[in-house]
Amino acid sequence: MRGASTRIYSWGANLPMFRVLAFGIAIGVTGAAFLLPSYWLFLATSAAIGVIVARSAGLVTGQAGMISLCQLSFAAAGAWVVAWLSLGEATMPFPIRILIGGLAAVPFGVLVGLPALRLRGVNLAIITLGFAAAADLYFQVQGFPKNSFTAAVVPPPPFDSDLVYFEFCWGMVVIISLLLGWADRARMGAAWLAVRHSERATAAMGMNVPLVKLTAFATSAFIAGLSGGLLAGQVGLVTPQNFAPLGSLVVFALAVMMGAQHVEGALLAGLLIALFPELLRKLGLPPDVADLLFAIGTIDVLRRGRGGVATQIREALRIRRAKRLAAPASGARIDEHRIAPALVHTGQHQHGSSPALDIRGLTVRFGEVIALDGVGLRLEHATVGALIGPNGAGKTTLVDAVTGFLHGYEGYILAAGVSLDQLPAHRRARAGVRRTFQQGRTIPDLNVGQYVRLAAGRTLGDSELSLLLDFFDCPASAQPIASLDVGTRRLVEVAGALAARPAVLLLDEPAAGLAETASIRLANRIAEIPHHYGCSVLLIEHDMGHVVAASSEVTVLDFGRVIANGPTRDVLEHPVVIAAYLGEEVSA
Amino acid sequence: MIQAAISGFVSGGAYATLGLSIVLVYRMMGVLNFAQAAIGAFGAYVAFVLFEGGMPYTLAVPLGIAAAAAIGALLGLVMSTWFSEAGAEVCSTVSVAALITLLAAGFRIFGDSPRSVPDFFSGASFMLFGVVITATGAVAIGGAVILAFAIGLLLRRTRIGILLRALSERPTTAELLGIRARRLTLIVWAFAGAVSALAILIIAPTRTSAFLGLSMLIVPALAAALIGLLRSLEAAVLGGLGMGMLEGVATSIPDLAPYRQVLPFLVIATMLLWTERAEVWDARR
Amino acid sequence: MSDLQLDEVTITRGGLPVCRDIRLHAPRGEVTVLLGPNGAGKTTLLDAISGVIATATGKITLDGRDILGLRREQRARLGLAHVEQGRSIFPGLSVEENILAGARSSDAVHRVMALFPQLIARLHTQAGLLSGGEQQMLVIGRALAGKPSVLLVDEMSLGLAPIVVRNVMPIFRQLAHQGVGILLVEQYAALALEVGDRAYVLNRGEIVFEGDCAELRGKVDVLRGAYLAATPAGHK
Repeated sequence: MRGASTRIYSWGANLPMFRVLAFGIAIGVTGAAFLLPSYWLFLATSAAIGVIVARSAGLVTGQAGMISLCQLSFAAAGAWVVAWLSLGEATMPFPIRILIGGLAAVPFGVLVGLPALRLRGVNLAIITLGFAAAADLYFQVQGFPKNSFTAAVVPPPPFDSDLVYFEFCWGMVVIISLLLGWADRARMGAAWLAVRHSERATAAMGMNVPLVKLTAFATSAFIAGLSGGLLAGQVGLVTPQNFAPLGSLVVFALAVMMGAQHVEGALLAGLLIALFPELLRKLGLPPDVADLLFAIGTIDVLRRGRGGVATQIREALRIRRAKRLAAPASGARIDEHRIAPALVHTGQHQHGSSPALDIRGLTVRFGEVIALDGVGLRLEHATVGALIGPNGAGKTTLVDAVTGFLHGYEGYILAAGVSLDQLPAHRRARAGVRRTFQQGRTIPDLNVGQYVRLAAGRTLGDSELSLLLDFFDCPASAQPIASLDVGTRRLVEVAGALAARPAVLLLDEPAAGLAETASIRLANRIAEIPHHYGCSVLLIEHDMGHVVAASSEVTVLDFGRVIANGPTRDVLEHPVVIAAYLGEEVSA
Repeated sequence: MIQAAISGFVSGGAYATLGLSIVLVYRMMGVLNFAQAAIGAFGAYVAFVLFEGGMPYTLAVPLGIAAAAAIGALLGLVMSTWFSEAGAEVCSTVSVAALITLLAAGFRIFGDSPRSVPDFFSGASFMLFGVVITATGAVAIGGAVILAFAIGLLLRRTRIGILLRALSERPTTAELLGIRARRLTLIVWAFAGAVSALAILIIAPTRTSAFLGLSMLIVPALAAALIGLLRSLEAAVLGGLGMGMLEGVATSIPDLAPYRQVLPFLVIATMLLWTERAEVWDARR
Repeated sequence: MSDLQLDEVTITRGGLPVCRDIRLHAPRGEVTVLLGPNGAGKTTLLDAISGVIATATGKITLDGRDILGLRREQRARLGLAHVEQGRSIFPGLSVEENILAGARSSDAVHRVMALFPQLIARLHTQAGLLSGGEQQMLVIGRALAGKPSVLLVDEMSLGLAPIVVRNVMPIFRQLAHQGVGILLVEQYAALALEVGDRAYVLNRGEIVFEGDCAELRGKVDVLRGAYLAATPAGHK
């Protein structure tokens, strides 16, 4: 992954939540340790282990959007290795054993992650459940390594004290939360979120999708492996029953229910796993009813469709904060008389003799249907060209082909004279060919600034960010994308794509969902892009007023063929074009 | 070897029948139901409990099947009420939650110890071409094949079959034509539940495993369904039978025997990776 | 009154109004044409009438009965048929089965065949294998198999060659003579205006023109204004 040190989150965004949590944990952990009887101390240790395993499930399922029903199999791998390392007169420091246990789970994470490069959703659920069942069988047949006289795993001093072990486990919770918090602020965490929303959009931001998915699985397996090792140290003798598939299912359900991609969601899930059955027992109810209640809670959360408990809490807090600040209304800020902010012309793109984008003889077939038929298109340097045509003419197909999302097209695509044909989508994006999507592919979990920084793929200063947001009438950097309407989200997407300083920018219906005045304002801004950023734009748009305001040249597609091209005004007056739009047969 | 393969008939028939009900629900309703085997196990256990309580087979078994049908219909009701517009992933997550619910409820109601279950054919068997075939095995195989054939006929030849296929291909369009989607949905879910109970009733006497183990038969059942590409009833039945027979063979080889139940995972991995090999991007454009 | 009537209908999507204050009247026995450029909100409007999307406010009545609170199949059973965009055949079903899926009487197949004799030879062909024009005939025929009183047709010209559209269009005139109310949504104006009685032009979610089709045929400017110009014609 490129630029892992690029800061996506600023500390400020999550600071209150984080501070409260860290403070709470610190007080709770130290205070409770001295007050709790050993039974409760044991439970509180279990809770820490539960938090860790819930966090591992939250990462792969909640954050990266890949269903995993085998988290406890990863934990079992970690437990097995820790048990093995603890055989005989083990001298290795205990924390190192735990660490190696976590690392031992990583290959399994990668192994399960590899199918995830092709399998998604339901299919991924099937294969991970199958893996969980197979792993369970293996551990049942082979058993865990055991010492002959004592319990398998006896942590050496000082970890043999319940109190120290308890502190150790919660210390691990804090370390893991800090590390994942760091990953979130770097590019990695946001990339995991991005694949969940759209793999194409992730690749279009220049990120290697297979790598992103594999790191998600590997990291998740590592964390789950740590939890398994910690469990082995806590209970001494682990059995396959500790890691049975049912447990993985329950962890998955709880992660969904609580929103375990968030720290506080994982905390809630871990506490529930460890404490809820005991609570039921205290109430005189059978503890196994806990699973039943978890499952019903999960269905209820899914029914409401507003994310896990932690997600809902964050949303509620955000709304309350927004109300308290009486923030200006979300959506585009309209200031008719503001002039375009002065931007530094970078001139980073060489203006050679070759056009910015040169498409020759592009033919795309979907089975019998010819979607594009020998299309040629030249986009000169530092110009805005428009691509128009009736619905189904093949405009988006052309953008897909240029940006690397179609396999097996015929023809040649060159950017500044360099052939793109052999490059995968994310390499084309890095080579300076960026796009936006008709459906709008921002990431609702991020705020505007986070998204633009992620899309930029490079360090973006605060002043540069705010200039860019102003340029497109985007909301303030701290505004969550989830609170924006569809049209405004598109503006943010355009700003993000441009933040990467591309040589060519393909905009697929950027004005859809915008009110008319906002649409024309966007068009005027698009017209200024070449001047300010030295970037060429290919614009797809249905609104002709927008096209006229933004572009100097127009290419018209109909049924996959170019039927006209030339200066915008001339082309729009052309009878062939009018006929294509109105469905008339052309009369002389 | 042949005898070993034949010994897998019972398992094969049960996998096939479970696979059949998974395919049916997936094709018609678009839901991959991870709780399908658990629904069947629940129904089967209702029958066992009633039988232990002194009720004759002939009454206990239909009641058990009816219980599975009712649970299936209930899950169908949940799906059609709250999740009719939800994606396949969400629906499957709901079915995973349903599986947890059934496991927890089953554990509470039926306990976790394996129970002696009635073998309806009390070990009867016959010889055919020099190999011994148990009556249960013959019924399991025959039942699965007949069921696949009957469902196929129903879908192709009857009006309700036409409506069901229409509903499965384009649910919104079907509703716009006035097809009563909800009623059909409940029928399919109930039917699949009943069929799953049959499968579990057949296989339970040959297994020592308790409610949990029977519910986890979802894994080989999914493998069978995948052999049918989650579409073909016939291929799912053949896949289930094939897996049962391979398992029978594996059982007869001492080195392989303990790991025979890894087979479904291998089948699942192979089928999925083969069918999805070209899916470079997710469906969200 | 026997017809489809919309009163102050506003439809929101993703929190934003896509159509605002729509008043529209599609009487039985007439072909009403709804024109407008891509993205104007035409499909959204039809979806709201038939219940595909449920975020409409205002009043939608069918034969005097308010249908806004009803489910899709209930609206269909009251006599509303909706031919969706993009030829929504059941591709795995045969032509005959497609019609039977929409049928509410035993003579449905015969009636549809009488209307579209081209389909007779294809009766047992899988619908997914038909040509685009045949598929369009099939979805219209399937909708008629339920004997609707009002028929909504969304962009049937989409992806069809103009000559095919020209062949199918006169059917709507014929249906109107039989007393069916037709609401025809089109992006391509010319062909629709030839068969229509009344026309509405929708742009940016608002009705910007309402009048007789004959009147609109002579006003190329109005259409050009709505389709190709910067501002909707009604604002000029």
